[in-house]
Amino acid sequence: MSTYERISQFVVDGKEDDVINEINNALKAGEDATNIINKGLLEGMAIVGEKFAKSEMFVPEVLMASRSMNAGMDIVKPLISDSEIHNLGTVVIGTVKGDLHDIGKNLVVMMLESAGFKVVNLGVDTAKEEFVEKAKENNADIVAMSAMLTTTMAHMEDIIKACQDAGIEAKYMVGGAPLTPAYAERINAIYSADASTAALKAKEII
Amino acid sequence: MQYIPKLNYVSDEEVKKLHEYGVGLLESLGMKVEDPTIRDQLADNGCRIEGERVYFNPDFVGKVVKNQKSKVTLTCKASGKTIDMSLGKTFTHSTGGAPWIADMVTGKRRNGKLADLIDTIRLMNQLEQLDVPCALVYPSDVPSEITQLKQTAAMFEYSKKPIYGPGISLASNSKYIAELFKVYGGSDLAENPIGMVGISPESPLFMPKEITDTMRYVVTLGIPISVLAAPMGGLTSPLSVAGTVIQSHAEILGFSCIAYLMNPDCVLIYGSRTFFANMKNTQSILGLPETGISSALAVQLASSLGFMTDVYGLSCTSCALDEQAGYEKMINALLPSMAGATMITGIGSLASVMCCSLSQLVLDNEIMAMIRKAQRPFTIDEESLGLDGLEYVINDGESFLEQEHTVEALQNKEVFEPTIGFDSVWADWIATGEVPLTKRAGEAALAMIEEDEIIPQDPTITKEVNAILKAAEKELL
Repeated sequence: MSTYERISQFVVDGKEDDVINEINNALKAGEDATNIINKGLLEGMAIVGEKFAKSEMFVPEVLMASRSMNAGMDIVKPLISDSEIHNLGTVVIGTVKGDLHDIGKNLVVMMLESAGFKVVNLGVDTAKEEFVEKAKENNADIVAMSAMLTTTMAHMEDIIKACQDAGIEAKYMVGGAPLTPAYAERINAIYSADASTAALKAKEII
Repeated sequence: MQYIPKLNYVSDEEVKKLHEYGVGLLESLGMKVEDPTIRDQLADNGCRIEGERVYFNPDFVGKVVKNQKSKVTLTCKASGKTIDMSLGKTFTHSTGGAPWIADMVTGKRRNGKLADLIDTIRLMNQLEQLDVPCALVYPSDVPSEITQLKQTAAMFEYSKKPIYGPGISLASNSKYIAELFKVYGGSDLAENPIGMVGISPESPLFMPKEITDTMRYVVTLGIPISVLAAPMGGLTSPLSVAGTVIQSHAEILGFSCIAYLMNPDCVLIYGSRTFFANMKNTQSILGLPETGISSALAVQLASSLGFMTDVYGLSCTSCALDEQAGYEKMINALLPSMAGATMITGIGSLASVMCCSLSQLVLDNEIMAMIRKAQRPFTIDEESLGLDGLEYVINDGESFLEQEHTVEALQNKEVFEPTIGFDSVWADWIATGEVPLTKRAGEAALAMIEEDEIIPQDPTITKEVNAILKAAEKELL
C-alpha cells in the first residue's frame, strides 16, 4: 500500500491521529503536498462519499472521516498556494428564519466541502436579508436553504425572490423533512433528499 | 383489588437512579434560558446563572415535581363529553400537524387542506378508541403565520371531544389560541379545561424565548400542557435509549420549573417524545422499536414521580398503509401502554408523522382496541372463571354455547371483537369478496364522516371567534 493509499484508508476509517502521522512522515520523505491532498485526503473522502450514498456507512462514521480529512488539510494547505486548491464553486447555505434545526444542513455542508466546494455556512434562523448579503459578498454560485418545519419552509420562496431582486445570479437548492420535489419546483429550486444527493446535485448544476 | 398488568423495564432502584441523573443534568450542565426575566426568577429560587445558562437548584426541582397534578378532567362543552385523565388510565390522541394526507380517491400523497382537517376531526368524533383529537392535518391553504390558530379554531368548531390543540411554537399564535380557549371555555377554564396544548423545549436542554413567550399565554390561563421534549438519540441526545430518556426527563423538569413560576396550578403532562434516527442518513424516523421502548421507560420514570404521561405511540416509519405500518405501530404503542402511559399519540399518522390518512385513523382505532384489551385486568373469582357453566356441561350434558356465563362473558367483551379486521375463516374470506383491509378501512372512514352530525355553534361564540381570527389576520398577515 502506498503512502497515499494509507492516508486515504485512514481517512475512510476516521483515524485522525494516523492521518496526521502519515502526512507528517510523507512530507518528511519529500512527498508533494498537492498529491497528498488529491491522491490521499480527497480520494479517501471520495470513497466515503460513495459508501455513504450506498448506505454502507453511518453518518457519525462519515463525520469522523471528514474530521480526519480536515486535520490532514490543516497540515498540507499552508504548504500550497490557493490556486492549487481545487474549488468547484461557492455555496452560501443556511437554515431559514424561525428554524433552529441544523443537523441535516451541517451534513450537507460537510459533503459539499468534501466534494470541493467553498461553503459559507450562515447557521440557523437566518433572515432573508442575510442570505442576500452573503450571497452577494461571496459571489455565490449556489444558495442553499434548509427547513425542518412546515411553518418555516415558506420562507424559502421569499429568500429566492429577494436574491433575484438583488440581481444575484445563482442556482437555488432546498432540502429538509417537510419539503417535496414538487414544492421545490414550484419555487424554482432544486430539491435534494439528503446530504450525499445534495453534493451530487451541486456538482451537476455548477 | 385487581392486578393491573404492567410492564416495568427497570427496577424501582434504577428508576430512582434515572431521576437522579436527570436532575443531575439540570444541576451540572444546566439549561439555556434566553429570557433574562425568567433567569432572574430562577435565580430567586436558588438556581445558579452563568450567561444564558441556568444551573438548577435540585431542591427547587424537587418542589416542582411534588407540585405536579396526577389527574385532570377535560370537557367538550358542545357535547358534554368528559375525559377523566389520571395515573393508571390510558387515553389516546391523534398526531398533530401532518403536512400531507393520503388522498382517499387516488391513494397518493398530497398537501393537506383545511377541508381535510375538518374531515379528520369529524371522523375522530366517531372513533371509539380516539379520546382526544389533535389537529391531524397541517392545512397548506392557510397562511403559515396563522396556521396553528386556524387549526385550533377548526378543532373547537367541529370536535365533539375535548381537544388537544396543535403543538404551539409561535408566541404570536399562542396569544390568540389562548383567547379561543377563553371563548369556548368560559370563566371557569382553569377549573374545567376544555382541552390542552403541546409545547416543546428544544433539545438539548434549551428554552428559547419564543417558547417561554408561547408558554406564558397558556400557562397563566391554566390550560393543561403536554411538555413535548423530543430529543433524537444520536443527533440531539446521546445514542443511548436510557440516556435519551434522562435528557428528555431533564428538559421536561426544566420546562416544568419555568411553568411553575408562571402558574403553579397549571397541569403539566410529561410528554416525552424520544425517538431515534436512521443513522445512515439522519432522517427522523419513528417506527424503530426503540421509540416504544424508550417511551415505556419514560412512562415508568414519570409515573414514579406522579406525572401523567403522553408518549409515542402509534407511530411508524412506513409511508404506506401496509404490514410495516401495522407492526411498527403495534410495538410502539403496546409497550408504553403496558407501562401505564396516560396518553398515547400517533393515531392516524404515517411516514414518521409527516403524512396522515383517514383509513389509517380507522386502522389505528382497531390497533388501540386490541391494546386496551391487553391492558384489561383479570378478575379471579368463581363467577368470572365460569366454573358454574363448566359444572353444567360436565354434569348435565349441556354445551358451553348455551350457558348464561358465556352470554355474559361475550357481553363483557371477554373475547375481542374486531370492528374492521377480518375474523372468520378462508371460505368466508372468499365469500365476502376478499376485500383488502385498507379498502374496508377507507370505506368505513367515509361512512363515519357521513354519519357525523355537526353540532351548530352558538352564534355568540361564532361572532367572538371571528373577531379573534380577524384581529390575528390583521396583526400577523
